[in-house]
Amino acid sequence: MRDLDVLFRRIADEEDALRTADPATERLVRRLAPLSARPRPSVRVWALLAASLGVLGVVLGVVLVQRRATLAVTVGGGTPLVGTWLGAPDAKPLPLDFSDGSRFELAAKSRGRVVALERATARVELASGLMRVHVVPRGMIGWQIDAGKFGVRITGTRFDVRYQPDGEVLELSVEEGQVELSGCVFGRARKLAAGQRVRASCQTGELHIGYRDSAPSVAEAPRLPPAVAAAPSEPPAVAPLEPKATGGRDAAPGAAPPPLSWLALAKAGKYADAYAAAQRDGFEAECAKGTPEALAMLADVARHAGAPRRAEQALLALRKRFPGTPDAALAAFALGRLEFDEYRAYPAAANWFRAYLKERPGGPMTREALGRLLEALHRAGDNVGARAVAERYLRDYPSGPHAELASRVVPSR
Amino acid sequence: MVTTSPTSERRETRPAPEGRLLRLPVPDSDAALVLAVRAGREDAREEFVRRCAPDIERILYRVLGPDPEMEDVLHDVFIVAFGSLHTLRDPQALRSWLVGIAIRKARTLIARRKRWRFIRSVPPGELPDREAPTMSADVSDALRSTYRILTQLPVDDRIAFALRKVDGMELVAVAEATDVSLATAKRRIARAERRFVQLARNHEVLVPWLDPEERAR
Repeated sequence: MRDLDVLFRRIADEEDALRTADPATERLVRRLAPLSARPRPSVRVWALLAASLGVLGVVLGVVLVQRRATLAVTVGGGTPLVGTWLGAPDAKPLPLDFSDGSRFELAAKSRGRVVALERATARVELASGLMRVHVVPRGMIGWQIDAGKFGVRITGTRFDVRYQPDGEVLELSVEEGQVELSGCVFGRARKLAAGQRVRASCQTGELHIGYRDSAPSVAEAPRLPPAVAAAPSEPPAVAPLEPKATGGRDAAPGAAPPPLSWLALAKAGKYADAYAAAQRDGFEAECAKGTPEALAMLADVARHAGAPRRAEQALLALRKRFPGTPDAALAAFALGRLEFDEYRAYPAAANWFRAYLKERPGGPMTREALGRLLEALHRAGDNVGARAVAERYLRDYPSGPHAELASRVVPSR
Repeated sequence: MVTTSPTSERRETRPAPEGRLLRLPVPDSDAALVLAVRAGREDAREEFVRRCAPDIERILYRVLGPDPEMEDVLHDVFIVAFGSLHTLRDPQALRSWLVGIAIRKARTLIARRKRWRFIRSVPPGELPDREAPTMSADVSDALRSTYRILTQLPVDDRIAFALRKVDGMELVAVAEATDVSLATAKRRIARAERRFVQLARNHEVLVPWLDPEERAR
């Protein structure tokens, strides 16, 4: 063992000694105990306190109590019991007004309930129908909506959410702010920003992310691996094209040289500049005419420039225009990595890795794809699938980089 | 307002019957404990904290070092955990789920400090004057220098490095705790280690802990 590793071990030991000397657990238990469960001071103490604090103290106390008060909700002027199902009438909506100014409106015939209301968190369940949500972005309240197996975590935002329990279908459209979706096809978490909308089904595995003012159908989606049926979100609109420099014979004497192409910039390792150039020259056009090599490079450029949606667009274009080629299979692998690394969408990532393995059995990325597939299934909670892949991995690559994980997934080995 | 009772109702809590109060035993397994907390049992909540807090505190120590805001972060971890326990799909995975929350909270704290360090009067990473009874002067100084260097690393690299090197966590567990792929976790650790060694050469107290070739490089 290196000396440095020995030092780290000793540091860990010292930290443990610090913790043992002054453990925080009991203090934490007291801090987390509900206010009602705490011992109350005696009447005499209260009297002494009241006398000494005076009016100023009382006012301060009121302010503090208000700040610490649990969030409250009213429905149609009444206060519903937490956990009680609420049904909106057939012809008009039912608003749920929260004390922080937030409003959840159940559309006609929709059903839902408040599941939890605390100082720092509030949880609402949508059983069926449509709910219009407007969360006021102030305070430290963590908002959460449950709809079947889906979860929606909310910051300050305005959006509509619809849930159909029959097909376990969730539709959500964000008007302002941002939400984070989880469950089923979303994996651990997937963010959705203002202007975006999503339609997802637990039963069919459908996942379609698009923009509010466009209506691409799932059928329009590029060729995808089986069982995903997931279309990529549409990329944001391209910025207006700048007039292209003509250069060459038409260029005026002394004029600036023509800008470098995105490909030249990418080959020079200037990814941000290359991405800006690709945007300027027309990203869609490049997707429509580029060679497989250029599209792979374009995806790489977009990814390095922090534009994963654009990377996805280039890779999907590659798969659509050059199906069945080794490059298309590699694009599937790259798409799996995007889903895994950028969106933590593990089920979708697993489908892409499967697609690679199916299209290129024994291909150069087989070990990595198998390992990534194992990781994705494991993260998605698919224990049965993960075990099968782990067994294959250990059989084919007993000392591969994912062997440790595979051994954990197959404990009996 | 119309109240309905869906046939699929499962989570509706029934009013407690009047009369004797029976105290149910606190479950042994983490999975059963999660279910008890979800059912609203106050004793289970306390047990939950007592059982899980030491591990989470250990993880926070590894990532942050001895830190004056440690207990606030620890408190926040459990606030978040209680607020989102319903999202935990596999109650068996309680510990790793909690570690994930702790890492995110620690990350937020580190990032916030980096953002505001230009107005800090105390150098970031300055450790409180708490010393363990067993702490020797050289390790105490080394600990301070170590975390001083860690504050200079990119936050994600720092966290992966601390979990792997100081806590001794397995690579797979580091990847899961930080919610990245195994390959990314390895890359972060390797990058952090290179940078750590580079910076450690400027800390007199750490130089003796470097290998000869690391000192000379």
